Amino acid sequence: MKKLMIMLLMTFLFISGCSNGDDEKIVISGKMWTEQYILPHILAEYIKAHTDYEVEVQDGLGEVSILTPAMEKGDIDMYVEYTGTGLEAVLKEKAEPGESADEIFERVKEGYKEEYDIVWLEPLGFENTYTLSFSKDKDLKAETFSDLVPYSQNMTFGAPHQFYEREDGYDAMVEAYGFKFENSESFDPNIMYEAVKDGNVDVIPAFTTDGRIARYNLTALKDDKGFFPPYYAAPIVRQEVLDQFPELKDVVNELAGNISEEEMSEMNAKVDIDKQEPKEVAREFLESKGLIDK
Amino acid sequence: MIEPLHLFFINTVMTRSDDIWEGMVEHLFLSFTAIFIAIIIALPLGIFVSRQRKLADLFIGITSVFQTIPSLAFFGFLIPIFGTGTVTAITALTVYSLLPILRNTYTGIITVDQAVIEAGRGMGMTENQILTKIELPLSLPFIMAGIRTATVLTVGVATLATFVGAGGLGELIYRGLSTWNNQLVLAGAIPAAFLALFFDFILKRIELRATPKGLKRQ
Repeated sequence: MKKLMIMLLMTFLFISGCSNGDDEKIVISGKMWTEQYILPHILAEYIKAHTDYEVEVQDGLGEVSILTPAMEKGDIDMYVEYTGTGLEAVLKEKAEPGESADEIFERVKEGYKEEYDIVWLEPLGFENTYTLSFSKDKDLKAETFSDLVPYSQNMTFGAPHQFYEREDGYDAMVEAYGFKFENSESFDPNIMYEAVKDGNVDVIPAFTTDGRIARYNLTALKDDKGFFPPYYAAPIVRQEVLDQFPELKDVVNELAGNISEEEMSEMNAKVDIDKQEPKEVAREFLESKGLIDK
Repeated sequence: MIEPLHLFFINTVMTRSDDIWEGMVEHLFLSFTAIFIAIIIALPLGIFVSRQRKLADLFIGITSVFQTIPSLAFFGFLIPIFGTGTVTAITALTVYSLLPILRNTYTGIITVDQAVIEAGRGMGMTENQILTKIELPLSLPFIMAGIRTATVLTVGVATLATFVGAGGLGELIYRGLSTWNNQLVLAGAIPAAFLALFFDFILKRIELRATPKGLKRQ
């Protein structure tokens, strides 16, 4: 019995010893879709090339509900968040009609600083928001959201779960435009493009940076009422980490504005369709822009 | 971000009662259909492999391999075949329910006391009678235990059906997770846990009812 107790104690000590070992490196994480698998590597490769800091990528950790507490606990140090998600899901605030992307950015920056002691660095450049997509084979005469309204009663709408919960999500969009979709389904964001391509659903709210819009021959309708505010994607870091690694902030901010929407969707397509490794795609991108040496 | 949980939770349940109800109905439909199909497949198969014991390892092995595939990956694999929606979800859930039912049926039947079977044969029972009047009643506790395990498992795994567009209580859980609304997560998770326990209880009653008098403890 005594032996068993000692064994157990040793195991606990060993395990707790392990988890304290991460203090010397920067842990970068991300969410569970394509863009979020690539972005951690872009940050990591760039930091590695321009500092002596040790960096570890733990990608695909989960949704904002997992990443934010993980940041608070210090399990991860940094990931790329979207201003819209930060505003609504984390700070539980709403975007005002007509509020610009910059104004929203300023708001989340302050909110995070106050509530979590987390710093929003400069946005990476591309704006990511929703557009409505359907297969071009459908041969509908629609260029804008409003054009789609008359067709909507015979259409099934499919979207990832969070779209139905957001303040700027399904209910509000349907109300703003007067859509009357016959049905609505929810599923994982990664399968929604296949679902619309294969005709399981008729319309999806696609991410504007997704490479599959172009490759699967889907439309990207114009949000003619400006319903979805454009959201920035920016790296967010714990203040403690910035204190511990003083060069980090300036180095990561050098990436600001360097990734355009076209570049992001091309990278996404390389991973989703050409089946390249996210890390490889991230390196290629940085090299082609001359941001790191070959 | 600590909120007085109980108040918010009650509020969430009230405002979402429609969603919760719909999720429960879908959840029930998915799990029940899957378990029903699994029983139709695994019970006869269990009886069959108890007669052909050389094949037992093979069939149980196959169902074990399926069980080891991570459920989310399995749902993903089925999409190219069945598309999104109910069929994919029910297929995956059925496959996950096979192992406990098959293994318990097999184990139950082969552990029936040979002496009892011999006695039956001595009384002039046919093979069919031996199966229905001796082997199945005597192995019933095993078989029911398998079905109960499968039920609890399936009700749990069915929360993942929402990833492929099949709805269920997982819908609320995942909506809550992706917008950091823990009350909504609980509004899906608690009914799911309740469903699992409830069915386990019902099946236990059925098992007691169906157990032959001679097997019940005095």
